[in-house]
Amino acid sequence: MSNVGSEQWSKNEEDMEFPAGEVMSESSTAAGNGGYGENTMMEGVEKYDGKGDEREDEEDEEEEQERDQEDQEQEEEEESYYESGSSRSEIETWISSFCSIRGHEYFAEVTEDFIEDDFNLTGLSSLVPFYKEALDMILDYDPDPDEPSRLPNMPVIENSAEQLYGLIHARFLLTRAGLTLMAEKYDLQHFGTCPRYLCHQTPVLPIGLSDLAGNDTVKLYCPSCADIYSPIGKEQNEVDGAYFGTSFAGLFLKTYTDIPGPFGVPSVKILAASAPEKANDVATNSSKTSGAANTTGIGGQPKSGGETENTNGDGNDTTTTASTAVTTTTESETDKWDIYDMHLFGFNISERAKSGPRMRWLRERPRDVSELGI
Amino acid sequence: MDDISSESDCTKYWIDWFLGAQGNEFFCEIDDEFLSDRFNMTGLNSEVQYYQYAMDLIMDSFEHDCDDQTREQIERSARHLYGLIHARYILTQRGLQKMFDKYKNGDFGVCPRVLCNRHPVLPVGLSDIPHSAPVKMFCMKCEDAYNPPLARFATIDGAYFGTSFPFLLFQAYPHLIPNKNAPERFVPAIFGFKIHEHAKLARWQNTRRLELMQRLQSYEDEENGRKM
Repeated sequence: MSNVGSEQWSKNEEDMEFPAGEVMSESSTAAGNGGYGENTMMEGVEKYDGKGDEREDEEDEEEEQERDQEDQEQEEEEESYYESGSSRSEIETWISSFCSIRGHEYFAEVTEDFIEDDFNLTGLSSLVPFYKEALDMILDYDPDPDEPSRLPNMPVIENSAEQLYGLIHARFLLTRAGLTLMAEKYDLQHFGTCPRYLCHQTPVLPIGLSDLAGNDTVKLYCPSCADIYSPIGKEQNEVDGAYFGTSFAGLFLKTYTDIPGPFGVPSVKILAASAPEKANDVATNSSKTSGAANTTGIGGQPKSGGETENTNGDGNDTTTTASTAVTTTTESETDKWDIYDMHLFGFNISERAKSGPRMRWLRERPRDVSELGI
Repeated sequence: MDDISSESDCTKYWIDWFLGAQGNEFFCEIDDEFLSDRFNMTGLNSEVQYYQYAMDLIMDSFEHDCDDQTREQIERSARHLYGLIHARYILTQRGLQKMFDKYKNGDFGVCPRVLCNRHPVLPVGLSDIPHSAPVKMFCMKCEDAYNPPLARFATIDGAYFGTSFPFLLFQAYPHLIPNKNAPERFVPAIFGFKIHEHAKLARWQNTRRLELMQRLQSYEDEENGRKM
């Protein structure tokens, strides 16, 4: 691992010749297009050239380079069978082992470039105890043997490393690279599906209720019913919500607009549907199919179906019913608004009853989206 | 559930074995009294294969010699039959009482919705016809149906609980109905700013809720007017 680390540093030096990279704010809003990792690397190096704390950082760099070289020599003796080029993938890093722990299925692997850029870690040193040691642990830097050992026992550092990684993770998710990684995980349904029956197994997204660590555990946000649920697994229920942050889910859905929103159609389609001729079309179609949609209790169309070109979120849809493209959309639209009806021996319970429906509004959607004035 | 090795001469009763099997935590014990009344079984003999044998097995009076394959089929029929009787039994007063106790114990789990604050749920079927859909969990706080959290519950037929059971329970025990006067609504936000469409939708839904409240108020006024 460390021999590749030294390669990384030499690569950084090469990058110094490039002009200044993009600013952080652009990548954080995911507006930048592609190549985020390279940008950060350049940006980081550029910062070393210009900023005041440059000297310290350079010293650190030198130390780390030396350390890496020492390690490299040791490793070459011990593990000579590793080829220097591919060793990274063969040796398990702290990050990959952390992400493979049971209960950590929601975590994406933050790229080392992102963590190595000090700018991305601004302010975290005051939030995490034993910040430096924890950071070294995350990046698999071996502690300096010459330095007098003032470290507490390993579990404490391990704990801070997890916290630090979580907080870095929350920031990383808001970058383009993070969103892309999470999109892959979303497609593979690593976060699970919505427990609500009428959401028909819509994949969900992890979300925090607070951006400060230690407040609440991670929750799952369903884009279809726009509600939050607790994860099923015991282990997942112990993960801090701040490690995903409050903004990620919203930003993800704003970035990947083809994922069906709370209206059962991609947000792009919502805009299209508000155009007058399309609205009429939808209205007539939905009036035709509304009767059928109300009676289809079981086996309805799960997601907004094959009409969307992109595979995102629709990729696992296997139960597409055989129907024309037009009816598929309208059916799925009306299905999305399906509300669970309480009935007793087949009769709907009246609103006037004490045990009558009181929460229908929670799942209700306007028939015509333009009613909302979006 | 597949490793059935319980013999009829086993010391345990069949129903006890059945209720103790993993995945059957939602079922309650059916009274012998209810089981022995043939009126309660009307129509079930056409639904269940080997009806009489299965019935004997449930009642622990199975004393027939048969090969393993038939035996296994009878076992399966017995479980199916128990489920169908269960759906009828839990609509009786005693059945409701038993399910009420289980509900109070939290045997059915809690609502996965965060804003329901772990409100207990009840099993509900989506159809009264067997083999149409697995059991779902109904939460009275958000009035919605959820998939059961564990995979072993996903194989239980919803018809073993029926579509009416939770609602009858709340008719019978109205004090169980949670207060829904101050409901919370989650609105996703980016960097603290609510997302436009979601905020609009939340407002629209709130209007619907207020309309409902007004209607309920007018019903109440009507009621009071009639009394006076």
